[in-house]
Amino acid sequence: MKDRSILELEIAKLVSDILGESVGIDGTRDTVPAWDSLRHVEVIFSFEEAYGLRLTESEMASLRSVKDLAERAMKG
Amino acid sequence: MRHSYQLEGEAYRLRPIVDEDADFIVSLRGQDVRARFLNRISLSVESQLEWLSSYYERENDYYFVVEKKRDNSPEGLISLYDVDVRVGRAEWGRWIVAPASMAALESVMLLLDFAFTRLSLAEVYSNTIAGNAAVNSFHDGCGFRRGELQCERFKVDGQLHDAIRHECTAGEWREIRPRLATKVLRIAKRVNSHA
Repeated sequence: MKDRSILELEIAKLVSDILGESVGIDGTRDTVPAWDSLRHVEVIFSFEEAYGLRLTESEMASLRSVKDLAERAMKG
Repeated sequence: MRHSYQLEGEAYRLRPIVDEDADFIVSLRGQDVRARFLNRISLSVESQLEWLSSYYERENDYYFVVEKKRDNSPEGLISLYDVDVRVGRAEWGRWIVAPASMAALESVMLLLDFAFTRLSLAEVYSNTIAGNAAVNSFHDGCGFRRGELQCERFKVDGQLHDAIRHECTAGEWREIRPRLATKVLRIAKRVNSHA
């Protein structure tokens, strides 16, 4: 199991790569305008592929920040 | 206007709005994280019913509820209005999707398909408050073309706001649509799987 802080950094980079702008570990959909509904779909599917997960519909919509995603990755 | 268009998508549909949706409109506008970009003056069921009664009388205005097909639950609102069939142009907007919904992209796709296919329009456009960066980013990401800045286009709670206009012609939509459809299909598989 990876350390949570390492996961947060990894996920922040994954989100940054998709959005094309730097997003920190505190990044959320509410504070990063480029993390819009369209790019959120790309974030979610890339996240699933990177961590071998399959999110539920409700998780897809409710995971709205780097920290949310890191917490979900920790659960496995 | 009262219309009977029901537009079926992969995971969502658009259906005509009715008076019974007034509660939903109020609840949705209250929970939207971008509510600061909406007028707060009409946040009651009574005022929504009043607004709907004037909407029913208005020609060339199509207001829809975005509904999940799997369980018919309402998840958003979207409209096509100021439809000018003579010049083949209309504005789309009044677009709100519940924060816990994945219906955003498909709702837009269904509405633009409706505009270009059923109504055979040549162009649609939307106006978004310039400060609403997330929605403007969505429009940019979809590939809609930025038009002229609309100065002081909106008044929200007494304050005037500029708007960014995004435009899309029928020809541009044909180019843009396949890329968005791929994403819509991928989302729909998940939404329909009841996972």
